[in-house]
Amino acid sequence: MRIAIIIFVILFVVLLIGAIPFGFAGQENIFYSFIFIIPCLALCIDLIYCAVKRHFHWRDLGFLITHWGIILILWGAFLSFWKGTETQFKFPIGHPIDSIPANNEKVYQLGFQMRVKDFKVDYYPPVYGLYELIPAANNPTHQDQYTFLAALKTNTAGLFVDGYGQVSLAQLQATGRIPAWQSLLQLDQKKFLKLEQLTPSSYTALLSITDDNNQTHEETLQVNHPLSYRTWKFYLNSYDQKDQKYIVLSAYQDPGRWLVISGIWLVMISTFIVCIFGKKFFKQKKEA
Amino acid sequence: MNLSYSFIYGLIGGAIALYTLACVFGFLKKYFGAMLCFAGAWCLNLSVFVINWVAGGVPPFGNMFHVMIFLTLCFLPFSFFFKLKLKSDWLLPYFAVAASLFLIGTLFMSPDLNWQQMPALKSFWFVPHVASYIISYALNAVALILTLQAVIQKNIRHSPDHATLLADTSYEIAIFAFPFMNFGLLSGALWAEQAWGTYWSWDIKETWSLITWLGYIIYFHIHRTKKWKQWHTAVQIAAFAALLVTFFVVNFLPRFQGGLHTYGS
Repeated sequence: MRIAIIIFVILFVVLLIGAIPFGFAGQENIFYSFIFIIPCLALCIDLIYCAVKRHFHWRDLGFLITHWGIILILWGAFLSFWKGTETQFKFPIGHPIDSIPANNEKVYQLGFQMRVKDFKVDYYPPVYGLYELIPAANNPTHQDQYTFLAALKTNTAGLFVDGYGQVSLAQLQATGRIPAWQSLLQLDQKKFLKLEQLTPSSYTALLSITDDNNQTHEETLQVNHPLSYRTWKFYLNSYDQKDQKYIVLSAYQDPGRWLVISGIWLVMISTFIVCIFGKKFFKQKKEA
Repeated sequence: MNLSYSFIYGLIGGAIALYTLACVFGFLKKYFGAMLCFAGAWCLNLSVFVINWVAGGVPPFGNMFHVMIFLTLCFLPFSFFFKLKLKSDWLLPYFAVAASLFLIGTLFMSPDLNWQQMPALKSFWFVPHVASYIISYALNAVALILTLQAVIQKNIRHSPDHATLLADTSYEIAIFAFPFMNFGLLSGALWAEQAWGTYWSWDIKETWSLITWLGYIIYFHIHRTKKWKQWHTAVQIAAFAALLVTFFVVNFLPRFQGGLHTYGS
């Protein structure tokens, strides 16, 4: 127990050093270095010793599962760190690729061809800010001569402005632009609307994948819905927000993934067993 | 400030007043009055939560205001739970004071009724990850208040029995809170793997949440040793300080704004 506490304290201090903001480059120097890895290895060894030393009894099941779960997480993380592959790249829409750039300026050959056949962004109704000319203004064409009054959410009919009336959806929309909304709309000499918030509700890429037998099939890719193909897993991170000419993908080959995920589920469930269901709370029931 | 924001701040102000009254009645051992005030405050608090939900169209866990409103909602149900376990009401004022303190913080935040859920937040894990963390923060706040009261009782009022009861209850509540904190941390890793491809990226929020988790791990282990148990109060305070950094400082300091979690700000 005391050795475990000492290891925990060392890890606590190392994490603090890595977290204190002397620049984010410090994190790479701390968390991917032996300063952090060696205490993690020591923790792994100590956890194995604790788990093996404890003679099995049903009442200790939660304790054992928790400790073995953490061991699995650490093993899986080491495996990912040692043998895993990751990269992030811009993927031009419409252009096929059969290799992707690695972080060290090399390339990974995919063994198949991929192309972004289509990409679509859906937006929530925009939020416009209503601004009014300040009484002492001497230059009505200058935006800083206006004061902010309210944020107005658009609906299917457009939006309603107090003291002006209804502004229709057609007046707010702008064709031939991305996004297709007016950024500025002068209502009258005293008031204007400014596009304050246009939030994507979803973005979807339709990928066409051709394997080495020239068989082609399509797959959709969205945030929180990654695509697994062969040994690769692709994640949609972002896109070209100005012209929508490319998307940004992350690609991973992670041999430690299933170890880590198994360990996570074991620890999540067993901690409830150890801390709540296996415990009798408040043995002392005195009044304070 | 527009009318709807005034209405929301009015509800919050009313809830703060009633939570404070519940706390006062509780310490005076007028538990029936305390419960009535606590329930009334909770209803006002719940109204704000519902307004946030209707405005956003999804469960409101997307910004600090949303999260603080949910956090203050946690105190009443858990005070009931511990009342049933203890068969006594003496913990009620501690839950009420915690609710009041956190709700005061929301008066300095904008309700942001135009918040919209970004694509990265559209996941099964959105509600469980945030909710479990908030539940653990609420319980750990009460545990810390009990610990501080124990320190006062021991060192200033010289009531060692009372101090021991407070300290033991604090430990039990922190133990109860830990699986929720653990679930929040690990479900975040599962969600990160689903969204970004990596279950851990040393984002500043992730790093501080791991520091907090480790702080409480040290606290629980030290509590079980004879030689080092004397340090457990200091360790609990340090762990809670890390919790406050994770919850507040990381969200508000500009230097930390480059992290992955700032989409939720």
